[in-house]
Formats: sequence, C-alpha cells, structure tokens
Amino acid sequence: MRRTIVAATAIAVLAGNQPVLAQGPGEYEHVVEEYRIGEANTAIRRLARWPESMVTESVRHWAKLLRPEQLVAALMLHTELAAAILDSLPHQTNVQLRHAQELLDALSARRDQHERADAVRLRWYQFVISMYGTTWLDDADRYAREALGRFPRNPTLYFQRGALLELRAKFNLPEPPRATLARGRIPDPGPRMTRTLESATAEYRRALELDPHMAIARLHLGWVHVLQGDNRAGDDLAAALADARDDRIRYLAHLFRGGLAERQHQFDEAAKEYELTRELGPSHQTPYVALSRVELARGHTERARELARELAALERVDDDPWWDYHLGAVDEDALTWLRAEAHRR
Amino acid sequence: MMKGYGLLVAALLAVQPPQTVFRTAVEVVEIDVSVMRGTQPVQGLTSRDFALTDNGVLQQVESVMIDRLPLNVTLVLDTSKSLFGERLTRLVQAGDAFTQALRPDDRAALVTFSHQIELVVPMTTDRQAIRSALAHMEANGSTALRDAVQLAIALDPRDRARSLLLVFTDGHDTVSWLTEDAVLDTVRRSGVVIHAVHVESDTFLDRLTQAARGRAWSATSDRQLRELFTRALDEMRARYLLTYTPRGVDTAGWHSVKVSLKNARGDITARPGYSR
Repeated sequence: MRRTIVAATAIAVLAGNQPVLAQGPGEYEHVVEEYRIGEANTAIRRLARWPESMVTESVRHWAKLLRPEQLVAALMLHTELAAAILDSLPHQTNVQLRHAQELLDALSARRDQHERADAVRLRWYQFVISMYGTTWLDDADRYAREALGRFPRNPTLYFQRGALLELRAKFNLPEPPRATLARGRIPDPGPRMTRTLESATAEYRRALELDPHMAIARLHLGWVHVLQGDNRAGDDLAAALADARDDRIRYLAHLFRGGLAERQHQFDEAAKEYELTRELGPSHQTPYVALSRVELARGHTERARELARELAALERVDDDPWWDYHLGAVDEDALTWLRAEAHRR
Repeated sequence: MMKGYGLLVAALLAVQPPQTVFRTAVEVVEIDVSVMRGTQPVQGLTSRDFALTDNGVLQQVESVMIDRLPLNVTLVLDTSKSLFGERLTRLVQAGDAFTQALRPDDRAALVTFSHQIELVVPMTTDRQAIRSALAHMEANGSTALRDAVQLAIALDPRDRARSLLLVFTDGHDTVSWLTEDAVLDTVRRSGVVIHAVHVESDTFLDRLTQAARGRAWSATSDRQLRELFTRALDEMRARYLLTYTPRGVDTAGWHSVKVSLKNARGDITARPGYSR
C-alpha cells in the first residue's frame, strides 16, 4: 500500500528507544539542517525524543531566524514526524502539525516568499488531508475545510473532500455536520449512506467544473455512480480512462467497468474488463478474485480454479490500487513534491 | 450433499451394443442434513423420520446414512491486525486442535486473509504442514473476508470427498472487492458447506452460512475458539446424507428443497435447493 511510504519512517521513529534530549534550542537548527541535507530518518528520530516544551520553544525562536529553505525543511520535519506517530500518538500528531503551520506562516511573512509559501501550503494541505484520510476522517475533513478556505478554486481539494465523504459512506459514518451546513444544504431524510454518497458526487462535480479532465475525480464519480445505480457511470468511467495519465487510474477504471458490467449481469463484458485490469496489474490480487468469481458465474469452474491457483502462486506486491482506493492513501505526489522542496539547495 | 452445481448424477447407466448407444440417466439427488437439538447433534434417525419436498412435491427418501466420506476442510482464517496478541495465540491453538481431530483420510488446506489472501498450505493430508503454518501466522492489515471465501471455494478440489470451509473472523470486511451478493451466488452454485466462528456478529456470515447450509458460532471469549472449532467438526461428522430420485417435478431450473422431521425433534439445516 502507498501508506508504507510514511510507515518506513514510523518504524525508524519507534525503533529508537533511548531518550536523547536536546542540549538547548540551538540544537534545533542542527536537526533541521540534518533533515534538509537528506538525513531525514535520523532527524525525525532525534526530534521525536525532544520534550514538547523544548520543541515549542525552539519553533518559536527559530521561526524568525531560519532561512526560507530551512523553514521548508523544518515544517516538513514536523510533518513527517506527525505522519510517523499518527497511529500511536494522535494528539502529538496535531501538535507537530501546528508547529508546521507556524513555520508555514513564518515563510509566508517573509519578503518575496509569499508565492512559494502558497505552493508549499497547498501541497502540505493535500498531504495532511490524505494522511488523516487513512485513519482520522474528522481531522481530515477539518483540514480540507481549512484548505478550501484558503484555496477556494483548487479542484484537488474538492476531489479530496469528495473522497473523504465516499470513505464515510463506505463505513456508514455520518457527514461532519458543519460541512453540510457550510454549503447550505438541508440533510435528506434518506439513508445515511445514500446522502453521504450524494454529497461526495457534489464535491467531485465541483472538482470537475474546475478541471474537466481530472481523471481521478471522474473515476471516483463513475464508481459512486455505479454504487448508486446511476446510468451515467459508464460514461464517467470511459472519460476517466480517456483522461488517465497513469496505470493506477487505468487499472481502476477497467476494474470498475468490470464491476459495472457484472452488476448488469454482462459477465462476458465483465471478464473482458477484468482481464484488462489484470494486464495492467498482473501481480495484484483483485483482478484474479474478480475474474475467478465471474468465471464461476459463467459456469467456467475449471477456469475459475485455475485463476485461484494463479493468484495463490503469485509473488505479490502489497500495493493493489483497489486497497488504496477503498481505504484511502497518502498523497504520494504531494509528499514527493514537498520533500523535494525541503531538500532544495 | 450435492456436488458441483447442486445436482449429482449418481448413476448413469449406459447400455452400449456394438452399433447403437442407448443411455438412460437415473438422477439421484443427495442432500446432506444437519439435525441439532440445542448444541448437540441428533443421532439415530432413519428415512422414516424425514419428510422432504422438491418444489413442493413430497418425495420418497430412499436412504439415510451418517456420512462416512472423507472431508476436504479449508481453514479460512482472519489474520488482520485486530488478531494481534492473545487472540492470535488462541486461534493457532484452535486450528491446531482442529487439525489433530481430523481422520487419516481427511485432507486440509489453510487460507489466511488480511487485505491479502494467501493459500498458505494447499489441500494435503500432511497435518504437520498445517500445524507448522498455523504456528507461523502473523496478524497485520485489513480484512478481505468475502474475497477470501470466494478464493477458497474456487480452490476446492470437488472430488468425492465432502467439502467444508471453516471460516474464522473477529471483525467485519473492510476491503473486499466482491459484494456479499456475488459471494453468496458463488456459494449457492458450489456444493461446499461453510461453518463460521466469529467474535462480532456479522450479517454477512449469517447469510453465508445459511446459503451454504452451515452454522455460525459466536465466541464469547478467545478461550472458546478451540471448543467451537471442534464443535464445527463434530457437527460435520454428524450429518445425515439423504438420497432421493426426484418424481413429479420439472427437470430444469431451480429446485427448492425443504426437509423436516416427522417423528423427532430437532433443528434442521439443509441446502435450500439446487439447480439443474
């Protein structure tokens, strides 16, 4: 799964069990530099052992003194530490993210740095929303609303809010009430999942109004339409496939087209789409499971068993796009961009 | 018990003179039936104790026997992260006890699932292979219960042995691709009996075991897993195999089968029907 990108850091943080306290706030700049030159895990591990008061004091002191490139490194240092302790210390995650925001504000206040600060802030929000979206949906939604307040015409943020709502619908969780009221909608009396999916489609449509060729938003809209039994699903998934720029989206588009055909009992068509999915992800589990089921439904028992055996024999990579879609995943593109910016010399 | 798609052509009498082939098919349907009184199997029943209808038409039950066929058991075990710790230890002990209780001609396979599904040990008579694999299980990840059941059914060898899936989960599905209805459709097409042991009540497991004429047991504590796994095996051993030749019903399509007791008390679990 894509969440492993930050999990590796989490292991690094938790593996260190010897408390190493800072000698004083002066050491903060040293840790930031360590992160900036590429010793990320060492720096994160070191900062993780500092007492909270020392971190707070250091951030306050150094926010005015660090160079702009150091500020970006510092805010990413706190952000990566937050990601690493998300499961084990959620309260501390919030504390670290607040420090990151203080440093962002400091960057934004610098002369000639406003544009850069905005670019960093947007990616930072995208990353933080996606990070919380894997575990803590309320926090993710809070950051999404905050981000949309600052970037009201950013399609990615609308897409992310839609994806959070889609996740809530899957797990039958209520919508965050303030989000509903902020858009002036009156909750429908219908089932919770139906309402939440409708809210998700509204966010996807908003994203697509701003960027009509946003394949990932079109893909999500198409799948929600499949779940809703909306006959626009086929067109949405075809458009997602046409606009897709990477194989993960193509993989999911074919998988979802297969799912749509299967729901319509068009098993031959479903098998064709699942085969295309398998071609794009031959080491992923889901197309084998889907194909095996469809072959059984077609009466091809031997073929179904053969696919199950093939799946059992696979050297699999723990990175099936369906899992990320279904459970939420870290925005790897935003994280990569932010890391590059933090290590820029 | 019914094989494949529910109908067993038990006797195909072929008369083959030198030039011409005449075939007479005599179709015998086999239904395996569990009869329980409380938690105990009811034993000693005969054909006179059962009433069976096929599409509403009363049938003559020709034979009733306690099934002595060997078992193909697939253990389908949840290894998601919620199993971490004491629960996993108890699950390993339960699986171990279950494996030891199998008869020499029984075979077993081990499928584990978190978000990933693994055929850890293919169908084998090698008990040690299963026990060793159980001891090496680790808890991690999400839960793809429905996909795991589908895979286990697809892998079932469908030979003359009776097939049993014993499913264990301590939670709910979080990441499967397949819908409940898709998996239930597969179950209805297969001849596999599915028993389930669970920790939290789960409507899918109830629907699953009902469709597969099995039973679901709820564990009130992790210590109970061993007892429930053994009970699942005992229940499978105590099943009756009813045979009859359908009379007075159309041959094609879905046949709804209802089994009840005439001269005894007990709760019956049987497959709801078959297709042909």
